[in-house]
Amino acid sequence: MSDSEVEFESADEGSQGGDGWEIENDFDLPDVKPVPQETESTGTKLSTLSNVSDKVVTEQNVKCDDTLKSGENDASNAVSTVQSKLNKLVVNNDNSTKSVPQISEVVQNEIMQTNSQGWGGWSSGWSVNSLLSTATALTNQVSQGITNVIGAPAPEQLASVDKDKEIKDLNETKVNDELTEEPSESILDTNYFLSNVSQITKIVETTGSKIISGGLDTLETVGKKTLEVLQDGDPGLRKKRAIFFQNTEKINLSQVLQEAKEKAEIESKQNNQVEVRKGYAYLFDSFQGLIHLESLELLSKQCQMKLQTVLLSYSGTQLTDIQDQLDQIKDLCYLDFEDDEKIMTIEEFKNSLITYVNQISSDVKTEKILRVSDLIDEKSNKEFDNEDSIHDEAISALAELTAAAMELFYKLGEMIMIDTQSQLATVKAEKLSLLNESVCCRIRFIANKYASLLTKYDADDTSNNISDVYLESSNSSSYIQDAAQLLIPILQLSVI
Amino acid sequence: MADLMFDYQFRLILIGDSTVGKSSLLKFFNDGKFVEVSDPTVGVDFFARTIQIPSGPRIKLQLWDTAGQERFRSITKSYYRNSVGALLIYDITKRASFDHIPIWMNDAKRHIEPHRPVFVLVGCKLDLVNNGAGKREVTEEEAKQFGAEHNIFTVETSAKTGSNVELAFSAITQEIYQRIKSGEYQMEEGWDGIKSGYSHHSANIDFNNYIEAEPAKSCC
Repeated sequence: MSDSEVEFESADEGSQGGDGWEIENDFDLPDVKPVPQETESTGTKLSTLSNVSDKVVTEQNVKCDDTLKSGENDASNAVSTVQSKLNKLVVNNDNSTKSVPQISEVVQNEIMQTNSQGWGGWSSGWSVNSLLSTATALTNQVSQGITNVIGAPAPEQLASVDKDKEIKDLNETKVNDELTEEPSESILDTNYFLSNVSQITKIVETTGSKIISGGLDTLETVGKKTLEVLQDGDPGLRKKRAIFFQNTEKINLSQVLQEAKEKAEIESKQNNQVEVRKGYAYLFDSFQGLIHLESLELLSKQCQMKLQTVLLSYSGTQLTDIQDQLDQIKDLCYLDFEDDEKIMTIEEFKNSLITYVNQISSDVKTEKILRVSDLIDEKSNKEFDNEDSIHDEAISALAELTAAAMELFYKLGEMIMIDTQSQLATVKAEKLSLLNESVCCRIRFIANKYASLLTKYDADDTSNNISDVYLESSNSSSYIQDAAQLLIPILQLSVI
Repeated sequence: MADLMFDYQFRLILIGDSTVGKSSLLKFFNDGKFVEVSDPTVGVDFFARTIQIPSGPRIKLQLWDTAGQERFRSITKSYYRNSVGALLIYDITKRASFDHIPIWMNDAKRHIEPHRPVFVLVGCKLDLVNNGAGKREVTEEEAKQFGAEHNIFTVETSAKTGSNVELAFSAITQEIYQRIKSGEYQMEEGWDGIKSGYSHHSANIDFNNYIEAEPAKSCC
């Protein structure tokens, strides 16, 4: 704020004498202020300024000497302020090799001299330029202030700021030159003064419009900046986004399955098939896998939104700590199991499922998925009439177990949401990974079993059927993994 | 497994105090069986059944059985929005459960907004009163009066004997269908309260045209 503020002060002082100092007080704004306020006060000052210049006309005409005297009195008060200003000007000019205190002495003397010759006139000339420079400086300053508050400016902005600075420096140089030149001029000349006054009025006008447009520009900059900051200014926020929006980019799994199902239906209709060959997606829906998956997505989304709101209220190390915690949970949910071929018999599956589910939440019932698993086992042991029925049974078994897993994950999600006390979220996350793995092992077991049943046949379709079973098996596994990951935000929310 | 061919799908939610018999009612409607001992519902359970409106469309009901327990309230609330109707369930042998009905009703109204939900008021455990095992604490007249005040259908049921269970669900289904016919309800993108079924593709297209035609009319 410093440079332009002082310039403004000297301008007021020049045209005004005593009254000008009021303006200066008005102008004593803290460095960083909301822009609208600043613009407002600038407006007030401008009106004061025009009042001042009116006064100056009369005062100068009627009692020029008085004005001069009051100017002298005020000048001594002003010296300290002007001094600091001038220090800067001189330093900025780099014309001098003298030390700063010396310069200020010199400048002080100069001011005294100026006063004796005619304070009003000197300042009239001074104010013309300084008003102009103030107008630009003010705008610069506000936007600079904003930039400082908001963060590092963009390169192009930096460039423009530099340019503005250059212009400002130029103005200052000019002002300083005039400072030294003016005393020699005959400034008490009334005509000269009057022309100066009209000049001032004009300048006030242009300055006004400049400040208004500057204010608008500033507001625009504020808006842009705010948006920029919201978008990617703050690295912390970016991190937050990474957490929040990781899943939003993806199309919902349930949508994919729904579309697959509808597509299959339309195809079968087009082919005028009397009996719809029941595809995986269709079966998955009729085993209520889709609806539970959708519900799980709903919970997941809800928790993600809550998480977002909560995280926004944190900052600094607190935020980093929480993010570390959240990342830890996420990593635990993505545990990598090296053995891709691991399978689970019905007993192994039962034991691990009960263990893990109880460790996550004892309220969640495992009966349903175990019943489904038993039923699948029973069915796979019966005699099959033909190859197609094995294939269909295999697809149905995979869809049913996957659907049951969706329901289980959904129920777990609900309980994790409600019951945040019983276990550490990290423990739950780990057990969830293991549970997830168990279900996938069971899926693989079923696929293997049906595939081996199919290999007994040696028809044209056999290899197609087998790869179909394996394809749906791997699809099932990925649906299960995706569903388990929907639990991540729910788990994450439980630690906050 | 739910029936696969249907014209419309309605999403309904069952709400009411804990242990009034929501799950038993739904289980009977779904399987035709009564379970003597049932665990408290965890979160929200889902059922589906297709019913046929006499000389009308086939309608798949997606039924959300909510936990009455307070601790699940935050979860159950998320299911209101995508519902088109709610069955308000109370226990006729438990006064408090009936007294809480207005609270449940307002809760549903607030969350189903901007849609105007269809309600039915269902009293449960009628068998207990009839066989003398329980004492009636809510009279049929009271319930009817409440129904008349709010213009909602009321019925007393027993999930044990199955009496009126079917009626409760068909009443709410009929009412929703009437509102579709009258144009009050429309299928909307992003709202799952009402959806058109798979056997309804041609009608679905008509319906979309109807919605599209609407703004054109109003702008003229």
